[in-house]
Amino acid sequence: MVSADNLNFDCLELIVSYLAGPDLYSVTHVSRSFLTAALPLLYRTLSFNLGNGKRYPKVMSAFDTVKLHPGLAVHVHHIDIRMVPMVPMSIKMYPQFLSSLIQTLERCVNLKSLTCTPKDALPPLLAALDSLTSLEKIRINAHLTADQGNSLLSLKKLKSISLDGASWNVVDILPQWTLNLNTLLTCLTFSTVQELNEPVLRSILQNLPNLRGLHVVACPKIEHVTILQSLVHTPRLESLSFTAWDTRTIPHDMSPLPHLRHLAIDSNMGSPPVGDDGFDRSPQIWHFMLAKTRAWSCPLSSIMLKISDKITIPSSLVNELLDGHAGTLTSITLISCEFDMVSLRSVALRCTDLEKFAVRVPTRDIDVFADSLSYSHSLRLLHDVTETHVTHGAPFLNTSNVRILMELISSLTKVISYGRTWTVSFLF
Amino acid sequence: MVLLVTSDNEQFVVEKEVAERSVLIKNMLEDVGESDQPIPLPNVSSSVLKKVLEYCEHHRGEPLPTTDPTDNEDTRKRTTDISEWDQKFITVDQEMLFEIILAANYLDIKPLLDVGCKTVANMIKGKTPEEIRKLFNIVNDFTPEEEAQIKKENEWAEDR
Repeated sequence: MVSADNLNFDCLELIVSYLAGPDLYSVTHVSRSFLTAALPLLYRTLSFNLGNGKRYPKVMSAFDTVKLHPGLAVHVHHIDIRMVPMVPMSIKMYPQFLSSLIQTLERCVNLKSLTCTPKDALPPLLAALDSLTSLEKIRINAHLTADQGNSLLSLKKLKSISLDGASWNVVDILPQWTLNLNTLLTCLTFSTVQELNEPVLRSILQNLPNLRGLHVVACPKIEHVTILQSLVHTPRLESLSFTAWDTRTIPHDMSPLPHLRHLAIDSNMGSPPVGDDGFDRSPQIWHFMLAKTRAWSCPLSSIMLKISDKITIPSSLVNELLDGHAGTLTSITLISCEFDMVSLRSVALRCTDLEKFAVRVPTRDIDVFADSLSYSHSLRLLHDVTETHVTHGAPFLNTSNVRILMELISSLTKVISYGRTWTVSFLF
Repeated sequence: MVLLVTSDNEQFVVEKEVAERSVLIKNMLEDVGESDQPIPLPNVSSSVLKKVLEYCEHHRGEPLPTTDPTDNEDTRKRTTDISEWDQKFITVDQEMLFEIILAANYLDIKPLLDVGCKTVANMIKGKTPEEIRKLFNIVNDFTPEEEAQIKKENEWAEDR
C-alpha cells in the first residue's frame, strides 16, 4: 500500500516545500525521512526575533544548532536578526550567542540576504561579512565608526541596501559605496537616517542609473522636493516611497518616471486640521504625484497614501487616482483617510483588478460599506487600518462584521484587522 | 490517438493532446515518432490512470508549465491554494491520493503533482508530529533520545 511513509523523496520534498513556520518545525520530528526533507527548508532562513530572545538561553538559537552541525550552513540563504539577547543586568550580548552567530556567518557561503536591525549588533559581525561573497541584500542598523563603515565597502555584489538608521560615517561612504556597486545596485532604502542630506543623496543617485526602487522614509534633513528632483538620474525607477514633511510644497517640475509601478507617500500634516468643514485638506503633493503619474502613463499597480492626521479626502482626488490608474491598480492603501461611499463604489467599480484594499473599515456603517465594495469582483483581501486612537473604545471588526463583508463582496477571501485574520474557509 | 497499457494490463485509447499533458508520454511519442505501438505504463494501475486521465482531459489545451530561470525557491510564491475543480477532483481516499502523487511524478505531470502535494501539505498544517504520524500511519523511527535532541536543536523555529 502506498502511504506517506514510502513516497519517494522528491515528492516528500515537494510536500514539505508548501509548509512554513511551526508546521515545518513539526514535520522535522515525524520520522527520519520527513526530517531529511524538511531540514534544508527549515535552515533556509535563520531568524532571531523577540520570541526567541525571551526564550534564550533556555531554547538554543538557530546559530547554536548550525555551530553544532556545520553541514546545515550550506542551506542558509537568509539571516534575519531582529533582536540580540543580552546578559541580564548588563549591556553585553551573550558571548555564546555572539560566537555561534559569527561562526554561522563565516560558514554561510550561500547567504543572499542579511537583516540585522538591533542597534549596535552589527559591529562585532563586520569581520565575518568578508566571507559572504554571495550576499545580495542587506538591511542593517548602521551606527558605525569610520573604520567599521569602510568594511562595508568589501560587499561588492549587493543589489539591495536598506539602512535603518546610520551614523554620519556611513552616510559619508555612501557615494563611494554606491559608485563601487554602480549598475548592480537596484534598490536603496533609507529609514530614519538622520544625517542623510541633499548633496549626498544627489551624488548617490548619480551613481545608480539602474535603480528600480528608492525609499527615503523619515529622514529629517531631506525635503521631498529634493528627493523628487534628484530622480532625474534614475529614470528606470519602478518603486518609490518618500516622506513629505510639508505637504503643501511641490516641485516646479520633475523628470518622467514612466516605469513607476509602486508609489507610497507618507505625509506630515504640519498644522492639525480644525473640524470637518468640507475644506479639501488632502496634501498638494498627492495631487501633484497623481497628475504626474497619469501624464507619464505609469502602469501603477500599488499606491499607499498615509497622512499624520485623519482627513476626509474629496471625491475629486479619488477620481484623479482612478482616471489615471484604475486599469492597473491591484493594491490601494489609504491610512488616516476617510471618503464617501460614492467614491468607495467608484473604486470597486472601476478598479477591475483590485485585489488588496487597506482602508479604515467603519463598523457602524458596515452594511453600506460592504454594499459599496460589493461592486468589486476582484477584491480578495481587505485590511482594516482604523487608527487605534479614533475608535474611542468602539469595537474593532468582529466576526459578524466580517461575515457581512464576505457575504456581500463575493470575491473576498481574507480580512485582516489588528493582528486578527479571518479567511473565507474559516467562516463558511 | 495513443494507446496506453497499465500495470494491470488494461488498455486506454486516449487523444494525443490529452496524453501529452504527461511530459513522459510526450517525450516518448516524440522519440518514437508516428506509431501504433502501445505505450506501457508499468508503474500505473488502471484505477489510478483513469483518475489521472480525468485530470488531463479537464486541463487539456492549457499551457504546459515551463521552467522559468527566475522561478527559484526564494521568489516562488508558496501558495497552497487549489482551484475549485482540482479540489473536488483530489477529494479521494488517502491511498488514491498518494497513488496519484506517485503517478503524476512518474508521468511528469507537474500541475497534478503540485495539486497532490499541496493537498497533503494542507492536511499536515496545524497538526502535531504525533497527529501527522497517526493521520498517515507513519512509523516513528527515532529513538526517544534522538527525538528529544531534534526537538531541542530546532525549537527556535517553533514560533517564527
